[in-house]
Order: sequence, then structure tokens, then C-alpha cells
Amino acid sequence: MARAVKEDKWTLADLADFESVLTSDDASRGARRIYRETVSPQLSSDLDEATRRRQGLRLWLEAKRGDDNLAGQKLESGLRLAGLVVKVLALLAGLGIARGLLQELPMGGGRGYNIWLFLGVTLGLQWLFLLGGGVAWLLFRKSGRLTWSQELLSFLGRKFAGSRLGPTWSRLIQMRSEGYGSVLGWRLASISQLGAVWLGFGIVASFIGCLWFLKVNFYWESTLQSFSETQLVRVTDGLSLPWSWAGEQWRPGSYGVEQASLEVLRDPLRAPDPGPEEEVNRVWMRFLVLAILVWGILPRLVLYFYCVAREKRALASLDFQESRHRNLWREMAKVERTVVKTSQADGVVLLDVGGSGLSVESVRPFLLQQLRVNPESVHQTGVLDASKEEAAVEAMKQAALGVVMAVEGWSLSGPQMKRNYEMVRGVIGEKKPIRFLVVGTVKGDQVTEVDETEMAEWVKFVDGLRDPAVEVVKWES
Amino acid sequence: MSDLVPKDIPTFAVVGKVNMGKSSVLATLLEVDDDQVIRISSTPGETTRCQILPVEFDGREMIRFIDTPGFARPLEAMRAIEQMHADSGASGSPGLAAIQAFVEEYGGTGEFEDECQLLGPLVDGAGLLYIIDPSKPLRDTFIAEMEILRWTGRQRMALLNEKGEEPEYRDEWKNRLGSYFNLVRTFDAHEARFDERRRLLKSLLEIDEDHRDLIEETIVFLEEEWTQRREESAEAIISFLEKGLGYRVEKRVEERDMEMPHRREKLGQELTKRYYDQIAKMEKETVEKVLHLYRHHLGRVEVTATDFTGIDLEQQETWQKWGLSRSQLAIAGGLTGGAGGATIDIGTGGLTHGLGTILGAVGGAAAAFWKGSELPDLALDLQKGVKLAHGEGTALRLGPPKNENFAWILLDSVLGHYREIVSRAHGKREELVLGHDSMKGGIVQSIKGEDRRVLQKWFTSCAKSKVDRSLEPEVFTVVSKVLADLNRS
Ligand SMILES: Nc1nc2c(ncn2[C@@H]2O[C@H](COP(=O)(O)OP(=O)(O)OP(=O)(O)O)[C@@H](O)[C@H]2O)c(=O)[nH]1
Ligand SMILES: [Mg+2]
Repeated sequence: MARAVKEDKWTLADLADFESVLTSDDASRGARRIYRETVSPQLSSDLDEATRRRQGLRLWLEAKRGDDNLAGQKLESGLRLAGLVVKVLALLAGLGIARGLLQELPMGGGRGYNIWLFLGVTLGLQWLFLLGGGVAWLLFRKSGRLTWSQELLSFLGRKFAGSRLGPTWSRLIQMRSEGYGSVLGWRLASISQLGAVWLGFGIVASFIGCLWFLKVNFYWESTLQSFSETQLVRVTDGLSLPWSWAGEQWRPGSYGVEQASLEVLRDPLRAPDPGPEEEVNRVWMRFLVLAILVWGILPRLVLYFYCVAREKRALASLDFQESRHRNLWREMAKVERTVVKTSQADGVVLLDVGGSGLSVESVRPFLLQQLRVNPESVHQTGVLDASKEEAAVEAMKQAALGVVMAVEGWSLSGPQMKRNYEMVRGVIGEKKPIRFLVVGTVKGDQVTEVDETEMAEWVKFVDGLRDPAVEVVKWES
Repeated sequence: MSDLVPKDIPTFAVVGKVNMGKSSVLATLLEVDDDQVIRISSTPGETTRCQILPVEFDGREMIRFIDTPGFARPLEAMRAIEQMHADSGASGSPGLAAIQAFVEEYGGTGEFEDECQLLGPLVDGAGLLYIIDPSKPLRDTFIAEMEILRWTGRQRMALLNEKGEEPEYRDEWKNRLGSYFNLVRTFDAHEARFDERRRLLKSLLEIDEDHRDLIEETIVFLEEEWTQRREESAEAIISFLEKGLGYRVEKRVEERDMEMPHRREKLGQELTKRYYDQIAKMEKETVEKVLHLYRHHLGRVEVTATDFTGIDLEQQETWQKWGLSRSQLAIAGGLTGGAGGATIDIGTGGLTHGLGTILGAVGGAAAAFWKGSELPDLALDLQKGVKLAHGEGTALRLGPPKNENFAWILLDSVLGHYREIVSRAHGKREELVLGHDSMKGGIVQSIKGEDRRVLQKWFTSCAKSKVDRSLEPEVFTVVSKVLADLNRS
């Protein structure tokens, strides 16, 4: 096998292969053989049931998937392409946003960034989404619903992976490991976090580009109390808290905020010396770049790694509890009790000679207890209906312990009975026993014992047959 | 060693007086309800010969039991053995050698035939299970049997096969058995469930140290098999519910058929009957599958449409006997859709009229179709203006019942069947009839609230024919948990 993988670890691509193999009709064909020959020998016996199943199915997949199974590769390339599209779009969006936020200064004389707007759009909105997404995730993770960004990525990925992968894709979306969610879901989430990282890069790149090539001011203006100077100082101080140790040139502080106020900028009395103004602008630039890196990109990276870790956890704790998985695993791992049909081999055919209508029940206890044989069936011979004879012949061939010929005491007619005996002997062969069971008369369920004189005649008749495998027995109630 | 008792397989002969239930014990222990294989009857002497009954997994024999004919003349046999022992000039009480000599002397002669048969495996080295019925008085013949068995020197366990409750002589038996046997256990051949069977197999470990590994492995296999059956039953039950709740009867009728009240009524009855016939058939197939899984062949399932049409879903009594109570159902989230008509999609473009529309009496086509009490219990979906061979007509789709307790009733009844099946001992030989009449119901009421909610959610999705697959693992867990409980109780 070309794939160099650790055979007991699952990847998303494996899962896709697995599900696509399972969709085929002959998925479970040969499962038991594969289990016995390749899976079971590699599974150590001290594993818990869940791990056994996880590793066992993985080994099964290794044995089962051909090199032509491309589901996993398609899925991965679909996801890569979707990721690429998202990254490019995010980058472009980032570039656009930072460029779009650069506007003509209200009083003319160059361009500038409105600080409130910049922070609001680049960080505020993102955090709004992030918090909204987080809440939605907390609420809906049980139901397994995807967030809108996962949904979008799933749509793209599915398109790029090709329509053949459709059913597999849906299964993967629904499939979750107990407590760790869906593997594909986490993958989509991590891709969308990467998208957000690239959005941040776009913003930073375009921001720095604008500052490089253009003359840019930073300003704020507000008539609203909540966007006042003190608020801005508070916000910038708060944002720069992580790098507050780095010194004044990395955060604007109240001086920088004051200097960026539109009133100050407008003030015609300001010193014509651009020195301090340049310096304030540089501080703002450094601050904003850092703010986006730390508050925009870093959280996304953290989330990205979190999603990657969750994906790993989900893979490591796959429980394969969906019915198709359970069926496959059962099919593979079941021990099968072999049904062994033994019997006592004590069966005889009760042959009702002359059609007295003798029932099995009436002589059964006697046959069981005295002769230790079990009358499996009763048949008639010496009757008008010839078809009954045929059935009797068939049954006699099967009987393990020969034939019991039930006769009524009065009915002994030598030549006739001898022919009956010869017929039976002919059917069952030389060795098997024949027993004459002599009763008195049979009237329905009533059976009487034979009297002594009649019995003596029967004994004489049987002796005359000179067959060691023949017995004569008197029925007793 | 003989063919009867292989050296490398734990072998146990089941011995005792005739009619004590030796064959029944084995039939229950080994799950054989086929009288062609193990013959059981009230006729003493039913077992005439030693019969090998192996336990095999994947074609490998793991344990062997031997059913034997019962002791027929234990007192005389005991004396004969003592005599032979004395004649040989040995002192003390007879031992295995004397038994062996006895078997050699009388085997095949017709004298002491049964005793020779049953002692054969013991001479060859089998362990033994001595079956007694503690409702019978402890007479001297039994003492003779026990004495003979003790002389064999084999590891031996006594099993009290209690045929009724509170057998009269139980204590007397227990006292006496203790001095003759290594181990005394009870095992009711007509009642023993899986747990008791497993316990019995575990006891074998104590009388056969040499084959510990094989016996332990067998127990593990049997446990796995038991779990497997439970899981497969859960699977069957779940797929029954999914199919049953998603089932609809369909019929296309001509416009004029709908205009006559009596024709409408007849049509309603006919379709309702057809619907329930199919549900009954599905239930029957499911239960038959479970019977098969548990290796029962003597079961007959009697479920018909009348079992359902006879249930009035709105009746208070029904709610007490079957399914959930009204408040339980409400808590489980079942009474959501107002009048309980949540299973119907309303408002697909004015053509389809769900039950909600009917009850709202908005005068839709369906409301005109079945008025008031004529209205069947089943959810109705009606589409006018479909093409028929001659002109236009109406397409009707019925089912499942609007009442959400229906799903619980279905579950309740299959669970009831399941309970009967797992508690049925294979040693019984009369037919097991599984129907609704004798069933008590009420099993679903013992399901925990959280689990009920999961099931209800899933039921609703099934009834809408939009099965929520993501709930499947949970539903499976819940159902198998219930089955496991039924196995225990
Ligand atoms: N009620 C009840 N009847 C039982 C039980 N065990 C056996 N029986 C009945 O007792 C009768 C004899 O059972 P068998 O199993 O044939 O007894 P056996 O010891 O094999 O008898 P032989 O083969 O004739 O020596 C049958 O009718 C059984 O149905 C039990 O636990 N409860
Ligand atoms: Mg028996």
C-alpha cells in the first residue's frame, strides 16, 4: 500500500474513504475474513471496546480500500481549494477595507483615517461576529448545526470536491464523536479562522501600504458622549494593555488622542512645524498595526489552533456508533455459535401391520422405557391404500434403530407375516433390528394386552424366522 | 479417554433420576428449543442414550455436555458395585475402579443398561452435574445415586431444578447434597434467564480447574453473543419504528367517489384497515426477527390490524396501559403541534391540506371530505386535481395516527414482546404465543425523561418522513439501554 500512514490513526481523508467504501453495496463483503486474517491479529486484546472498534475499523479500511478510492483525496483537495478561495477573498477584502477606510479629511488638505471607524470596522465588527458565533456555537453545538461560515465553506468544498462525493460529504457533516463534535465541522471551522487571519493580513498590508505611499493623518471627531475623548483614551489604553510595557511610542495615550482630535487638527493656530504631528501619526500607526495583530489576528490564530486540536481530538475519539458502523463492526467481529444438531439416534419406525389404527402415543412410553427406542413415526402396511406403503418404505430407510412391527395377537397368518417381515428386512438391510410388538386388539385409543396362547404362537413364528436381529415383545400397559 | 470425553475439552455429564429435568436443564442452558435435538417430555425415560451436546464457536468445540438416560435401578446398581468391590478383595468403599468394573461387566448385557450408559462418561473422565427436583422427597434411591456418583471420584455439582415455587423438601435436599457434592446450585430449567445461565457456566469453573481457559473464553463469547443479539434487536426495533412511522397508504380516487358520504366512509375504513394491516405486518416481522436472534423456534406472533384499530387512542384507559401518559408525553415534547397534528405539513401551496386545516374547519377540500366523527384517526394528506385514467381525481395519503402516543404504543408493544422472548427458557416445549392481548404494556413509562425526549424528537422526525439521522446513535443507546434493563428484570 502506497500510503504511509500509522494504521491505527484516523485522518479526515480516511474517514472520507471509509464512508465512501461504506456506501457501496458490497461494503460488508468479506468483513469477517478480513477481520480474522488482518484486523484481529493486530488488535491487542487489552484495549477497551471503543478503541478496539476505532482501530479495528481503521485496519479494515486499510485492507478494504483500493488504490482507486479517491474520496479522501478529493475531499482534501476540495477543502484546500475552498480554503484558498476563502483566503484570497479575505485578503482582498482586507486590502479593500483598509483602503476604503482612508477618506478625505473633513477639512480638506489630505487623507486620513477616522480612528473610531477604523477600530470599529477592523476589530469591533470582527469581535461582534466572533462573540455571536461563539454564542451560537454554545447553543447549537448539540444539534450539530453549522455556523454560517462553516456552511459557506461546506458549500464551496463540496462543489470543489465533485458531486460524486456528495453523500459521503453529508455523512461526514452529520457524523460526530461523542463529546467532540464533527471532524469535518472542526476542519471547516479551522479553515474559516484561517480566512479571518488572512483578512487581518490584508488589512495590515493595505494599511501599511497606504501609509507608505500617501500622506495620511489620523483623526477622530465626535459629538456623541460615548465616542468622546475620554472614551477613546480608555479604548486605546485598553487595547494597548498587552504591550503597555513597550513605551510611549507604541500607544497614543491621552496626548496622542488629543493631538488627533479634529478640532486640534483644524486649528489654524497650530504650529506650522510638522514634527510633532508626524510623530503622533507614527505612534498611531504603530498602535493600530499592533492592535490588529494582537486583537484581530492573534485570537484567530489561537482559535485556528484550537479547531485543529479539536479536530484531532474528534478523530481520536471517533466512536463509530451510527447504525451502518455498528452493523459493519458486528458483521466483522461477531463470534458465531455453530449450531450443532445432534440427536440420540434412537429412532424407530412404528409399522402398524394390517392398519389397526394404533397411535404412537399409546405405545410410546412402553417403547421408550422397555425397548429404549423412540417411535419417530407411525406407518401402515398391509392395507388397501398402496401409497401408504411407499411412505412407510421411505421412513424405514431413515430409522436409526430399525422397525417396530406392531401386530394384533389374533392376526398371525404365517406366510403373510413372513412376507411382511421380508419386505421390511429388504428395506432396512441385514443388521438393523426388527421387533414384533404384540398387542391384543386396538380399538381407537384403547389397546389391550395379548393373551398368553396367542403370544406363544408369535414366539414360535419369530423363532422360525431364524434372524438374530429379530425380537418379539409383548406389549404391557 | 474415549470419543465421548475428549481430553482437551471440558466435558460434563448431566445425570440424575429419570424425569428430574436433566434434558430441560441442558436445553435451557444451551438454548435448544428444538425437540428433534433435545427431547423433553413428561414420559419418564425420554432420554434413552447418551447424547453429546457440544458448544461450538466458529466451528471450534469449547465445552461439551452429555445428556444421559436417568438412573433406573440405583439401589440394585449400588449393591452390585459394592459386591464387585468386595469380590475383588479391596477394602474401604468402592472407587472409580469398581465403577469401571461394573460398567465393563454389565455394559451391553441389557442389565443395568441405563446405569452403564450414564456412568460411561464419568469413567472416561467427565465432570458431572446431578439434577434433582427438590419437590420430591429424599428417598433411599436418591442416596444410592449420590453414593454411586461419589464413588466415581469425579468433580461434581448438584443442581436443584425447582419445578414449582417453594419446593417442600428443599432444605432437606440442600443439607444432604452438601455432603456428597463439591458444589450445590439452583437452576430453574423453566425460568432461568441469561444471568442464571452464565452463573451456572461460571460455577463449572469451580469443578473443572483443568480447562479454566476454555470455559472462561466460552463465557466471554456467550456474553458477546448476548450483547450482539441485544444490539441487533435494538437495530430491528429502531428500523421498525422508522418504517412504521414513516409509512403511508396511498390511493387515488375519482371525484364522484368523494361526493357520496357512504362511499367516503367505506373508503376511510378501507384505507385505515390497509394502513394498520401493514403496521401489524411490520411488527410481526420485527418480533419474528427477534425470536430468531434469540434462537426461538416455538414462538408464534399474533399481531393483526384489529390490535390497533381496537385501541382508541383518545381513551384514558389506553394511555394508562400503553405508551406514555398524557403528562409524560407533554414533557417529552410530544404534544407540541396544538391538537397533536404536528405530524402533518400544512400549506404546501393550497393543494395539500394538513390536519390542522381540517380541525380549523376552514372549509378546505379535506374538511368537506370526512366530516366530524367520520374523520379517520390517521393523519390525512389530500391532493386534488391529480390525473387519473379517466379525468381528474384526488390523491389520498393516510397515516400515521395524529395522536403522538401511537409511536410510544408501537415501541411499548415490541418491548413487551422482547421482554417475553428474553425471559422465555428454551427448555419449555409449549408454543410461545406473542400477541397484544396478554401483554401488559407500560414499559416505555419507565424510560427516563431525558431519553424520552430524545425518542420523541426522533419519532416526530420519522413521522414527518424526515428522519433525523444525527439522533440515531442516541436513539440506539436509549433503546439498547431499555433492552438491557428488560434482560435483567
Ligand atoms: N414446571 C417445571 N417443569 C419442568 C422443569 N424442568 C423440567 N420440567 C418438566 O419435567 C418433565 C421431565 O423433563 P425432562 O427434561 O425430560 O427430564 P429428564 O430428566 O431429561 O427425563 P428423562 O430423559 O426421561 O430421564 C418435562 O415434562 C418437563 O417439562 C421446571 O423447571 N419446571
Ligand atoms: Mg432427558
